Amino acid sequence: MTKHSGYGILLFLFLSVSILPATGIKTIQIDAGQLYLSENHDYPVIRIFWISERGKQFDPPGKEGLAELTWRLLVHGGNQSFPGIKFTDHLDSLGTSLDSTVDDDSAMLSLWCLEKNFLTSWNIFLSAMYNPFFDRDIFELEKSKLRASIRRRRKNPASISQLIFKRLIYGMENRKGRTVTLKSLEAIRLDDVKTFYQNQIRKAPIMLGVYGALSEKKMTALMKESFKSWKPDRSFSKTSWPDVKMSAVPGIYFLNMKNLSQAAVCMGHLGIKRSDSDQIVVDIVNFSYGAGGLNSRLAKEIRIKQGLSYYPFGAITKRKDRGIFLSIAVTKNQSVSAVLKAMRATIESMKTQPLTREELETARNSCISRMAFQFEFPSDHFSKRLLYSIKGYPPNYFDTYSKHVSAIAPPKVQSVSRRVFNTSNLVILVVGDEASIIPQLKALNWGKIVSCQLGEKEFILNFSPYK
Amino acid sequence: MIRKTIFLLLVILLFRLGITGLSITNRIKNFSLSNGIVFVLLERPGTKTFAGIAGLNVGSGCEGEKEKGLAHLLEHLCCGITPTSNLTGSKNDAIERIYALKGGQDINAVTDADTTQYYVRLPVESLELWFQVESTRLKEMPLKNLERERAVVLEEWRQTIENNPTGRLFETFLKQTFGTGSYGHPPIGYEEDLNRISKSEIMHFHKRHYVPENMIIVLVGDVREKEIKKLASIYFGDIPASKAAPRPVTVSPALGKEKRIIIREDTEPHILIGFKVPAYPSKEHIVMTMILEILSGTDSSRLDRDLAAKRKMVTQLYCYMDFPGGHDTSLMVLDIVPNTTATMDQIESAVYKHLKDLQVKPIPEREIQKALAQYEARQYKNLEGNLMIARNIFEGAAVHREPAALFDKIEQLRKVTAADILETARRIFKKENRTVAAILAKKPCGEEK
Repeated sequence: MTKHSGYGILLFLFLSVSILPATGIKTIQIDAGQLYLSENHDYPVIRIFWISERGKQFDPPGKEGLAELTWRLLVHGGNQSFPGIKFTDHLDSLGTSLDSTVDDDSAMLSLWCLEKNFLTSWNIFLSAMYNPFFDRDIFELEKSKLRASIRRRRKNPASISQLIFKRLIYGMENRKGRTVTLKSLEAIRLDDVKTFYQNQIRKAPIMLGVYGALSEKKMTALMKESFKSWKPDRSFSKTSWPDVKMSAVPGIYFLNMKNLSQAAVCMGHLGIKRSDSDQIVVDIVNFSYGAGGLNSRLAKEIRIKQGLSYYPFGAITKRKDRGIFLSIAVTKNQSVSAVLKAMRATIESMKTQPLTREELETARNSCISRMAFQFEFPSDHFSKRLLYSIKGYPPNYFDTYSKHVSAIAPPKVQSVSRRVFNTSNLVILVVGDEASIIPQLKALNWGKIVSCQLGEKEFILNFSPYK
Repeated sequence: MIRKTIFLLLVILLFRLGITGLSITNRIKNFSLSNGIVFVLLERPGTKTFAGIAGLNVGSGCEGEKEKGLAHLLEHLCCGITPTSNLTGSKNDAIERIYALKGGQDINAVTDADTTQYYVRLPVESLELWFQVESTRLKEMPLKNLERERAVVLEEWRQTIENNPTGRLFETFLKQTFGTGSYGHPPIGYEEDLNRISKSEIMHFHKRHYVPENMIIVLVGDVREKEIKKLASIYFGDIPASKAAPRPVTVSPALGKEKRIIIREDTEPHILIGFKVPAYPSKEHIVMTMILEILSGTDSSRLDRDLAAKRKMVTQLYCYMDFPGGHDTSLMVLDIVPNTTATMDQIESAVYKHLKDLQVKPIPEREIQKALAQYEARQYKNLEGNLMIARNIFEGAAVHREPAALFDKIEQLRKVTAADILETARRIFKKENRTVAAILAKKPCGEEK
């Protein structure tokens, strides 16, 4: 055994044994739902995480954006005694902050406050959760913020290309292909927000994490008292979605954005489920293919060897149903075809050329360490554990991760790559200046090119073939 | 005698700040090698990891004529060096790979107007390896791969400036404000300079600026002072002392009138309003930090409350200081994304009305207390994780010449009075001290007269 790999094993032992400590999370079942407590006295700070699986997938068709608006209004709308901006002002004057994050299949409210202000902050927050005030001014303001971001994304090739790509893969009707648009936003009324809150949040059992400078005993008592009258609907169910299939016919799609000197280039297909038995191997595949910074094959080829793009990236995402596989690079118009060729060849290489010993070791150590480093941010790690539990990861996911990763060998990575990458099924999307790019796409001779046009207010794609 | 008294006062003041500020400030340690390299460290036992920054007091603000973009291009080249390490048994390996093999995270580098920082988070076992790699990085003249990195940086320039309206707006804003001064261009530089910069110009810049006097090394995490001192002298002690070249003038002379530019383009509107503020630790700077908190520290601050929540004239409003750098007189910026229904005139008048209020009506005590509470909370949020602490310490040490500067500011803010705010607002919010730059839609739809 060389000195080199000996060190690797030592490193692994160190990483797997000493940085992944017992989590110190206490789970308490109460009538209203589930509490998770974790005591940490490093700083005089307490954090609360309110977790829900009611994310964007619960937007009713035609009212995309509703889930996000509702969660934002819980943050900014206030309660009956402190409506709207008075609520924010009250929290701000304590130095307390309240934020929301919403993705496809989860939503989280997080409250941050100094220990000395906890009780006041908690009572304000709690009354907003029981009796939110859906302030019309704040509702209009949050809508206008979303409107501005929608208009902005249309003008940026890298962001619009990712949205279109997602839509091509999932299809326009699928809940995952849908996205908030100017039109769907117009359709949302304040009453829709109230209904969403009533049906999707107020009826749900609570899932609450409390972290920081707290006494477990006192906190348990306070929480039990706080949620005495939170009566969840017993029939409130966890959702399962039907399987998704790739919607777009493989091929080249093009969206014209004139007068730009750079184009966004996307390539990929459907991704995998979180329940996939090889989902941890896919982390190694991702790192080695396109998510490992300058260590990935994609960056080595496109950036380091050819200098064609500042930040090429590629990864297979995992979702409860199916994620997507997307590779993306922004490059000058003249090098679009060179980037496409390099991308395809790199995907192919994952199937045909096994990882070298060094590639595997780099990917493995980096993945294990990324997990281990989370303990530097214990409160983030705590909230991530709660979120992952509703996203369909196994309960021991964090605790067995490094063991699983270290057992992965090159043949396994190659066999999984063969299964998860499909070079004969690629959807390719280029967003950029037609005049300089279409001739290159034609010269590639990779099949017919379909032109996409984007609706003005709606995110509808119309297709027409290029002659 | 007077000097001595002042010195003593300073010591007393610093000590007092240390013990009354956040518990972190009196745990920050620093020492210098005889060649002048400064080391700053914060021991956080038990984290098993550390964050390291090999930093330089060198940024785009050091660039002269015809070398706009050189500091950042040099950063790219320094990331491409391939050190040989007896600790890993590897020869000529890429830094990114050496660190990733050891489980390194956040392997990256950044160049701004004032500084260049090479940073990473690593398991503590790799401490000596980090010294070996970073000392090589700061010593070597990295001219390999120039053409390739030039191409990559040009792609970065196309992405952030040429094809990015916001990037171009900021470029214009800086040029308007700082003119020919070295704060007058973005760190990414200009296309023509990037295409032209030669090997000998890079060597010349490197020799003048990558010198011990400009080097600041910050380590935060499960490290010990004794070991750091030993490793510091082994790996960094042999760099010969050398005086850093003086920085060019950052600000061109004031013209005594407002600077103003409107770009018409088919894109989303964006308005920047800037006021020049003398650098920290001037009293104006400290008072302006407080004013910023009052104007736009949170969603319930004066501007957000009125322009966003109440009148819906803007969808986003940010306020920040030390733009583009904090070494010298710099800008306090109001960064506004208007709602398309509001005109530029309406937004400007509303903003200036609030700035006028600050000059004539004393701030109520409640608002001062609220601003302090917000600021205190933000400081605690800056303590999450080794890397964030390290970057805050580095910024303090490099830009403000005091490692604990960012953590100590709360104590200085507590002394700010309503009278200070009136006086500073009058001095800073003058029309002739102002730059306005905006991108507005080509065809004004209800916009402007």
